[in-house]
Amino acid sequence: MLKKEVSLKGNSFAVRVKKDFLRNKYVYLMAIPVLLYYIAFCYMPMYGAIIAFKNYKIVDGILGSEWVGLQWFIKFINDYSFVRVLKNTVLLSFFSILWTFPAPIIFALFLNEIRSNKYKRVVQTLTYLPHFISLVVICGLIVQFVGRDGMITSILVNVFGMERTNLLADPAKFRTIYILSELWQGIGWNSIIYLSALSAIDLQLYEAAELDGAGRWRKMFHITIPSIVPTIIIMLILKLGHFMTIGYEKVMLLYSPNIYETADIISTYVYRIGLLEGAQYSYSTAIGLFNSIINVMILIIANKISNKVTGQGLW
Amino acid sequence: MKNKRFVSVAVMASLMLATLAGCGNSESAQETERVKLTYWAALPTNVSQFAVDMGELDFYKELEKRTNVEIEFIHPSSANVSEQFNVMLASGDYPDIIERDWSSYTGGEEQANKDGILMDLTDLVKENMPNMLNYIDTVIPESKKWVTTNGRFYTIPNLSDNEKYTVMHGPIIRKDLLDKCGLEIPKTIADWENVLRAFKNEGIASPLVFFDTDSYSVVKSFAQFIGAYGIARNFFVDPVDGKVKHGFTDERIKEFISTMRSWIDEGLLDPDITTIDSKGLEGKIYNGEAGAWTDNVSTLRTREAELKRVLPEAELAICPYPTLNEGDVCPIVPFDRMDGYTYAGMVGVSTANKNPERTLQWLDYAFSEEGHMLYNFGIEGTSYTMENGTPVYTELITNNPDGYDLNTALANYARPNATGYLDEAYLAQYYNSELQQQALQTWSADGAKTQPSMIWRACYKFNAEETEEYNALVSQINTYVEEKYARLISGIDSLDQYDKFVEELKTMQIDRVCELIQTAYDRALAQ
Repeated sequence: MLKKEVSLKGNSFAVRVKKDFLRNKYVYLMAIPVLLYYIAFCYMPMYGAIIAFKNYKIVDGILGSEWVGLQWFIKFINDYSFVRVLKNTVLLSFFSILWTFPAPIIFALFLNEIRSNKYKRVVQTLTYLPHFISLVVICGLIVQFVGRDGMITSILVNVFGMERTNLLADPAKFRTIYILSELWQGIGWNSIIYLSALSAIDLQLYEAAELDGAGRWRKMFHITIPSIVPTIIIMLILKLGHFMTIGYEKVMLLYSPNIYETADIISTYVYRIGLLEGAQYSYSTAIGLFNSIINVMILIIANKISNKVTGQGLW
Repeated sequence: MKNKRFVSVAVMASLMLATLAGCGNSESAQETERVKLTYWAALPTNVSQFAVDMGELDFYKELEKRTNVEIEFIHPSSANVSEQFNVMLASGDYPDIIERDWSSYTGGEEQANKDGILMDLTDLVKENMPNMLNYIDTVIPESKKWVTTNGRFYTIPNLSDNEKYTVMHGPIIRKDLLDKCGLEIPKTIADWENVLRAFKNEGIASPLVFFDTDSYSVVKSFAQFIGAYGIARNFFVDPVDGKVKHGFTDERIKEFISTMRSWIDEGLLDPDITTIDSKGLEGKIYNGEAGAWTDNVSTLRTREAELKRVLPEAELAICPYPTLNEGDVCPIVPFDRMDGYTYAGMVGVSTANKNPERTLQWLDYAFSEEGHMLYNFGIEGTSYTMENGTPVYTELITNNPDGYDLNTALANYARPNATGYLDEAYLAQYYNSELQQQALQTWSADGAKTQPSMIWRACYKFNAEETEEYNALVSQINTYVEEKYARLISGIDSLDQYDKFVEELKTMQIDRVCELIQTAYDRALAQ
């Protein structure tokens, strides 16, 4: 008894850390590559972000360039594209989450209700497939399908009597095409995590409910959904964390000057300004940083709300 | 004619120089230490068909043997060369030699020097590049203006003394369809409308297609038709009053856009030109859906052969640049090269280069008699033989056993478009199809009637302050204009809104940009 007290007193923070390290050395060893990845690709590049506040010139280097304060941010806010790219980013993200977030959950719930295992597996495999096709190929397919003579266009023309045009040339249709294709790409793959959450539900709960005379719908609403709510909340917050960083590659592969009005988002604008049109490094860094700041704010707010409403959150 | 005489003088002079310098050089070539240089260049499309690294080419192997300089190539992936170029610059890690259209660097070569990327080669050139200076002085002295920036060398050019190769793009038409309709080759915009309408009645889905094989910017590809209205699509110098203007803010653009709109409405001009990339548009040509399009001289031979393969009845004919009225001269023709100067193969020496003297001597070899033959024709006995004093490509090149076309087969043995100057015999054999020769004659003749320096971007060079101001303003204008062109032509925006767009451009200070170019342009003229 006495001995133990003494040893506890000697347990300063450093000693405890050391002990922990010794005990779990293999776990720490395994974590090293992950840490290195984050340091090399997420933290070290942050140092470069200071050029957003400088007039970066290649000769002077990052540290040597002259400080200009918020000049680039002010320039962006006064840019004619500012309102448009901000609006497009927010709207595309918002609608994208609105449709593509609930879809896999509903899909997983229905898949869960299917009794035939064979049929279930076939459906799962088929819906996972698009996820494994390269994005460039996916976009190539989309461009073909909705082109003037594309399959989807032809169906719309013949069945619904629409006028024959290239659907991707119409600014009003871009978001629909983007989100529908996003659904097609991701519905199966994104449902995996919910399916695993569903399989973890205690079967006794269902048995008890059945004894009480609950039907299929009742069981779904009162057992299944409440059981996977924590997963849903975490997934939603994670998704909101990427709110402002929607896949710019996909937008870039689909858009054209015709539909910049709805398709040009902050990241594609940064790409055009920063890397294609005359390499304005500082300006595009400032726009990128602006994007990230909004993103972090959204994440914090979402987490706060979630903590208040459901008592669950990332931290 | 005058060129011929210059050539012979040049050849004599360079021969004399070679003999004079001969003894010293041949000895020092043995003694010179082996040097390794890094060379950044986009992999040419013809090379990419059989190799992934230019160092593998027999041409560079032979060059290494002769000069004792080993070249290690750094190739950006072909997807987006200008993006990777900017990334390379931002990394601050420069290769020894950078092959690139340096005028596209914001602020041009001079600014690249100020930014600490390129070396000022002026003094070094005098000592180390006698062959090049001699060629420029004796054959194309007028090119000095464009080759140097304010009298200083920052890059080493690829030259040619032939004015036949100035305009490489232009309109082209299906001759068989024209004959079927009993019509002549269109000259004016009104002729074109007639012809296209007739094609439409013959059941051609897209009588006219604009496309540009070099880039995705479709807006760039209507350059061949906008010139008839006396304007260019971008900044240009008006031949009438010598003032710098922008095509979009000029009132005459309305007429051009409404004509194009009416053509699209009537189904004469393909409605997809603003949304589909060049591959998609090329597909329309081979499907027989297109009756006329804009094309590039270098692709014409393969285009004709490929088209004949899928559509045996197809025949092509070259059209002159269209004009508004019969007998007019097309006021603005887009030039690809001029006064014997081209952007392709333009080479800069970076500040990271530890051996600038050897680098320049190596580059100068391309201008020497022996090097010139290697760059243009390759290895004697393998890729060419001399017949009556002119080099002629062998069967290996003209009828390649692996089935490569001339352009690809030659790429292994020679690189005429790198440093040095293009040989007349190369050009004649390279653009060997009848159609290509016709195209060169017709389009360059149109070019010769206009004042090329009026629209050519190398004719003005900014100083440092101008560069900074220009850069800050111009990219926004360019993105805005490109979008509005596409929307106006495809009919998403109507011409009623045109004044509003011009207002918007005025707030982006488009007038100030015109002023900047005007100052630089006037300064260049005064020189």
